[in-house]
Amino acid sequence: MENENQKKFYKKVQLVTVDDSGKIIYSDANLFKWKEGESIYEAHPFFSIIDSLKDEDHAKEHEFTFPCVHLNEDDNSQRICDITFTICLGETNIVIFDYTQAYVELNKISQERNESIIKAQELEFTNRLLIEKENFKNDFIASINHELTTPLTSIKGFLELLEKTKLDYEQEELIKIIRTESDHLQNIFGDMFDISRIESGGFKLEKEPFDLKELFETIVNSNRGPIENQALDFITEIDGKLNTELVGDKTRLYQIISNLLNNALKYTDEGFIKFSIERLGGKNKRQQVAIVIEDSGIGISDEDKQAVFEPFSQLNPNIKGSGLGLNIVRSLVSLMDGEIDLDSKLGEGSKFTIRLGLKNASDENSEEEKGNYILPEGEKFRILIVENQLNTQYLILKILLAQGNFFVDAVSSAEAAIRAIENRNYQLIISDIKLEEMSGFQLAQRVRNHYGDKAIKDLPILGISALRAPNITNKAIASGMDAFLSKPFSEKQLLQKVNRLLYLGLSN
Amino acid sequence: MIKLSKKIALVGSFGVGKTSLFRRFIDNEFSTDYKSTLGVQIQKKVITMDNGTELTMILWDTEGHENISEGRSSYLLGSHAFVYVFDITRVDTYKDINDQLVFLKKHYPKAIIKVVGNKLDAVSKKKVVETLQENKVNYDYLTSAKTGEYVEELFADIAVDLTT
Repeated sequence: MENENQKKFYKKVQLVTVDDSGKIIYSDANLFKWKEGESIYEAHPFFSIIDSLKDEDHAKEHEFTFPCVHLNEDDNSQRICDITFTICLGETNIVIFDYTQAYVELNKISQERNESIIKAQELEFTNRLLIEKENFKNDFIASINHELTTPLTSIKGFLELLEKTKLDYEQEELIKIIRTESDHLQNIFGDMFDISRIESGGFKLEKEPFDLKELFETIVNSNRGPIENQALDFITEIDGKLNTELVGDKTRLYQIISNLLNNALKYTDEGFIKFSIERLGGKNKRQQVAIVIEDSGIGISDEDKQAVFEPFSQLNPNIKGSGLGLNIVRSLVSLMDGEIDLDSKLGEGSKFTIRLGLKNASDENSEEEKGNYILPEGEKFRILIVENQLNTQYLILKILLAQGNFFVDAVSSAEAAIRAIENRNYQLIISDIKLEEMSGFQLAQRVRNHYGDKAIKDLPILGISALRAPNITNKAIASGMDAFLSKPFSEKQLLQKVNRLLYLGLSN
Repeated sequence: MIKLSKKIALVGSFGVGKTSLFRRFIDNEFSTDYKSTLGVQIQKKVITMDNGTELTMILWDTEGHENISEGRSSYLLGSHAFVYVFDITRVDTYKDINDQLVFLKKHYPKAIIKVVGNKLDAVSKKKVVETLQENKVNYDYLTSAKTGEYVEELFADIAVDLTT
């Protein structure tokens, strides 16, 4: 006697027999209502596989199993079945097991697993595309920056030389305008490049000794004119308790404060701008300082307080600027592990407070560490300039010759530089990075690795470039250069680097 | 009139769009919902060739496996053509493609193989071509089951190969 389980089992299995032509000669119709006399090939396209399973040896029995096959009838009800074919003597016995329920359950697990893997792999791809886009953007900015900075170097350099000539009042005023505009242009390029480097993670802060009071005074002096010219009071305070001998990135600190003062100036028509530095405390080698820039300008509404730090945000579109200044400030403060607060009321003014931990410099800092390198009086040094931009070459030549203690030769390629150093004794090479054929990096590698002559092998090399590639200083050092200077540079910056390398060369 | 019936198996990793290509070709339908295929589903489409041949294309839409040899081998039996589908937005679905193709060619030397990068709608064609070149992936078609781009062309090409 059949028990209930056996009955259930029979309901889940169908037996079908077909002849050599595919005609159904037996079907128990338990699952599918195929009738005897019909073609199995018409029942479902799956069964057309039978033909390709048949062997030339008809007498031999062959068995094939196809698990998890989706079969459906005309009413579209679908079953998921395991199907076994036993083929012998032209007849095929088909056993169909209906495992729909079990397979549906199984599919839920598979669905979940696949979905999570697909999502992760798609994210990986999207992320890669974003990185590629970002790199493309950064390379583009670096490249365009180079193209724009090179002529700007010449403009600013020659302007500096022109300022030292005899000028009448009108000429002086015109030069002032050119200087202001070229400074503005340089700031915009700088902002664009800084943002791109910060976003790409390629931005590194310098660690150099500096005097905070000197920095404070420099900033005050360079901002007093523009602020007072707008009939604003410029209130400045520096805490007497501050230890001003510090270590950090003074250039970036200058940039942060200048950007904030510049911002205050843009949005203040009357009243005051206040710049103060206060000691908050600190122990041992670290000192906590608060840098505060306050104004009586138009103020910022609560809704706009976050937006002002976003790139390309400008509260007043009529005001000149790149809209990147405050974004750079926030990013730089964050890189310095500091905090920036904005306290402002619409119509009453704004107060930006930066809190930073700055490292105290040791008391033994020498003059050299402070950047003051004094060369022996009366001694002459021979310097080789390797620069393919003739304007820049001429500019460096003029600056160096004006000092009176340098002999200078100039060439336009690394190949010419090699011939020069093999034929003459130099104390320093100043080389551009982006030269034709052999680069400045390759020139440095060659000098360091191809000569037994110590006078050549150890020749100090100063790299210069308008290229804004991330880590370019590190790359220059890795190639064998001793120092690197970004274009555009001032006369003071160039001479400081030149004097340092010559001074260190003498010490060795 | 000559009547032919040929089996075409769609293979490749999971989630690459085999079922979407299958549905786009058979029913001209597409759904953005991903539903993993368990086992195999089979449908046919009859097309008449220019030379008058009536070709019944029996398409086997198989469940996805990163490695074909891990799949159910019975699904591949008697295949006249394979469509190896990969997802152009997922490197994992084509990084070992050459090994997969070697496996197919070794075990089914007479079968036609078409290599298809799907989801062309998701990324620019230029970017895809660059990425595939970097990964040394040779393909026959880049398709979008979503928009239908190159789906007809793919199966028409297979049909021609199967009837000549």
